[in-house]
Amino acid sequence: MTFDRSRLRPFANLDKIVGALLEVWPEHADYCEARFRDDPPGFMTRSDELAGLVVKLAGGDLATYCQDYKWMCAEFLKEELYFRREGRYRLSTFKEAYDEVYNKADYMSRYVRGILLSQLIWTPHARAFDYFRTHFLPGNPPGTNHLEVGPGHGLFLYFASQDANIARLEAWDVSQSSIAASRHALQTLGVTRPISLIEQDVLAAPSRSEEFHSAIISEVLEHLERPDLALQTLRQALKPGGRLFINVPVNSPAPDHIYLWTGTGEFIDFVKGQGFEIETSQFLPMTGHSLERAVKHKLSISCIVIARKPQ
Amino acid sequence: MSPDAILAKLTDVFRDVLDEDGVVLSRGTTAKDVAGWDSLSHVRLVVAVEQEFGIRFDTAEISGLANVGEFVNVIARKLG
Repeated sequence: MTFDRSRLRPFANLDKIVGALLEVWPEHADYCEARFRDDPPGFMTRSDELAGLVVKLAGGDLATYCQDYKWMCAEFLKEELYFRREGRYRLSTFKEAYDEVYNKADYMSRYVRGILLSQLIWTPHARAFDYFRTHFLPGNPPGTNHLEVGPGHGLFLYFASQDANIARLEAWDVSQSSIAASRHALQTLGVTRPISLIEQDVLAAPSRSEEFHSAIISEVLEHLERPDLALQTLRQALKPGGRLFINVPVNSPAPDHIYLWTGTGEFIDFVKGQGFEIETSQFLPMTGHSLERAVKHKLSISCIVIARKPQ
Repeated sequence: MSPDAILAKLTDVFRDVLDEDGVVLSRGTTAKDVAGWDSLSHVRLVVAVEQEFGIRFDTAEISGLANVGEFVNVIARKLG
């Protein structure tokens, strides 16, 4: 298989990132071919906007981000080997993840840079942003009070900040350094409207009640020992009828994933079990695989769920 | 187990893991020759082979499995 990059040419930011990545990692061409093969034009255009944000965040250091993405993929393969052999994630407690990943500054820096690039290069990541922009945000009423838990690289928060229906923005993170990183990212992306970035543990007893019309928790629950408590806190914080965008991968080993769901149905039942109704859901298989094949072989599938607190 | 028998069994594993009934392997076959044999499916192939043959590869062996012939050789050695 050869990767015909000509279809990326009209999308300058995508072309720039993929070009830089293939300079560092030419063997990733087949993967990129599978990633961009079936993208419809509208999605390509929105992906190019996302790529523009990634380019801004990477600054003049795109090559380093590409090297760290390649390194991160190798780290994921180690976890994949353990997962396939043992049928579970290697780590199971937050302390283990803290000791092995979060508390190692150099490892964390590389991991965060790699993850940023994956937002564009991994199909489920890119499609999750798209679903958030095209299906979640337009469903919010004018004057929406919006909350994000674990804003990380700040990209979801950026898109929320651009939405006219959102009147107020707040984000929680358990780590001061993560909050500082998110704040810096939002400045880099040119977000000028006020956003409350608060140090708040979503696992702590619910501190807020019926304040938010909408919320998002993306790729956070699988990092927690008690994701049920996180959803219960969010349920309490949402107004009746409030909407929650959830993004969680199942069967998806990573250096800091500690909570395993083994199927999409199991995850939907989990969300319902925390008192939410399901508005819509999307199941996004890993790049290059159909959903049917991903289910059959227990491959990574991202569950995108728009849940609703009952009226 | 003879090398030919290992190769036949290995072919079944590849067909199952890659979901491709048309996979035909020879000792010289590399990842470039087989659709879907990438670094991630390589891990799934390795573990499926381990389970099928009742063996365990070490890390150096896994990265050295560059073609089907290497698979056959390492499996034969481990089966003794």
